[in-house]
Amino acid sequence: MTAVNLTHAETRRQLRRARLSEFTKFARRFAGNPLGMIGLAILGVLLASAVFAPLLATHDPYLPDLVHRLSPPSFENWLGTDELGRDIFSRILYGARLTLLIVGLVVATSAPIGLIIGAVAGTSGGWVDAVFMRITDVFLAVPKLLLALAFVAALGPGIVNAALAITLTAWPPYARLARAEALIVRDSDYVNAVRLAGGSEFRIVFRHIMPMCLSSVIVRMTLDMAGIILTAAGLGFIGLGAQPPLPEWGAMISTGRKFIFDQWWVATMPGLAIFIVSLGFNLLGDAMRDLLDPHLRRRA
Amino acid sequence: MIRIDNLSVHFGSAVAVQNVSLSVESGESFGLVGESGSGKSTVLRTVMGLNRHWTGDIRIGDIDLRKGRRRDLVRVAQMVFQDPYASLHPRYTIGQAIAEPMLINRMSDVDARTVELLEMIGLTEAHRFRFPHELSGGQRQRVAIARALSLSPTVLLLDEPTSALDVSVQAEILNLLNRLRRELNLTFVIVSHDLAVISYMCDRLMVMQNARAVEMLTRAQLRTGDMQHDYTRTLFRASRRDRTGTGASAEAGRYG
Repeated sequence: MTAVNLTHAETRRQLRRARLSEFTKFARRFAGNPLGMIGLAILGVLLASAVFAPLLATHDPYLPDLVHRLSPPSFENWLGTDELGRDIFSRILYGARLTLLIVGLVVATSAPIGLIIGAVAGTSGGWVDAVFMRITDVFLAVPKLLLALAFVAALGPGIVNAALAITLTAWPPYARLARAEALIVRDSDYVNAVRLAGGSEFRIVFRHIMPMCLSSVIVRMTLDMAGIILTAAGLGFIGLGAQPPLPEWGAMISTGRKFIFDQWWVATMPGLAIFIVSLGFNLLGDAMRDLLDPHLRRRA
Repeated sequence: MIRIDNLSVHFGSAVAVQNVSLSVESGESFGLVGESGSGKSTVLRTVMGLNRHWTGDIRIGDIDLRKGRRRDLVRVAQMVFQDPYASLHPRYTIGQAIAEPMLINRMSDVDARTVELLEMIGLTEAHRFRFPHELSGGQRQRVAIARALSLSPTVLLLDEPTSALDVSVQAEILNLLNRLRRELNLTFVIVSHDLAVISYMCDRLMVMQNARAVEMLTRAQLRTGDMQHDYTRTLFRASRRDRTGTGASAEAGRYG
């Protein structure tokens, strides 16, 4: 009995090693793309500032200091202070946490929902496909920000509600993508081979078709992250996202609007942060597409 | 072992197979010949249950394809596909591909059996953790054969098993199949457009044209050119000309 278990563990270990070596090959190819590496570096900086915000911050992001309100960038306050005298650099660092939280929440919910709906629809065809895809069409037809607005208005403003609202509008493109991939592979010989072995449609969808949809979805996901950040900032800007005193970047721009002509840095600095992070995700997404997109790879 | 009576298959309004009947004895190797579009592959796929819309009767062993349970059928008959580049899942290792049918059918000792199958088809345990893109076409087709054998079927349906491969590799695969048939007592149904392959592999064959069965022949009849039907003769002549023309392949026994 132990012998069998041992070999089984050995099998799993070898399998992990095989997968790891595939991943290493992928990483090596990715490293050959300079723009992608810049994107990855930006994402790394974002992650680091989110994780180490308390260590990196020079001031308390919530503590007002009315004496130094609206002071320009200086040695004391690297990126200046806002209307309550709070240090903008420290607020942007803490704001990275909120940005990552929203992006993470949206991606972790919308991509799997879209993937499952699309893969099931594409594989089963017939009325299941029709019903799922018409629902998808309905969601696609509603303007993104408007639906998010209505949703937040109904549930009340806040970060989690903003993320949910964005999810509501973000999943349909994933469903479309996954369906398109599923349609390509559902009648392929390797899927038929599973049918011939008596595999259930459930097993076929989740174990054999979904892995094939995954690369398109991951590419789309990375490219979408920039859009998610912008939408979240937009919701924050109109006051429906994160609530004060949270240092959400969109909300920070919103308060800075009042001083934009005299104290430009209050709105500009969080704006720059949004710009740089969005750019980073876009660069990363482009690099991922070059490597993973099955249609580009087929042509190559 | 296999009995097909009056099989007809329709795709929409198009007729893919019309009133085809055949029977294959246990342990026999049976060939289906015809040009592309003649319906020979459709017969195989229908027997394996990959086409839903068919009429007639199909029996494999004592399983009636209409009434029998799929779980029973898959243990009796399995299929090897034409294109080894399309028949293996690109994200699964070779070992996983071979083990998958056994896992689906909840068999025990899957690990040991996977290694045994790999060795049976002339690969080694080291290939188990490779991905399909790391293997050659011939190796992939061996893996596809191992996967088909993993449930220990008695019938193997082969859809142009060598047509996607190099000539030099074709011979290896055909010899492997012949050895496996002897050792495991398998029944073969082989679809091919290559008369040389059929003549080397099959005891009897059926010629198909335009969705219909044209003629039944034995291997001896094929080799002596003893045919009744004009179409068969044309096909036979074409393959002769092809062989002398290219000079690449010699007699029907070239694989031996």
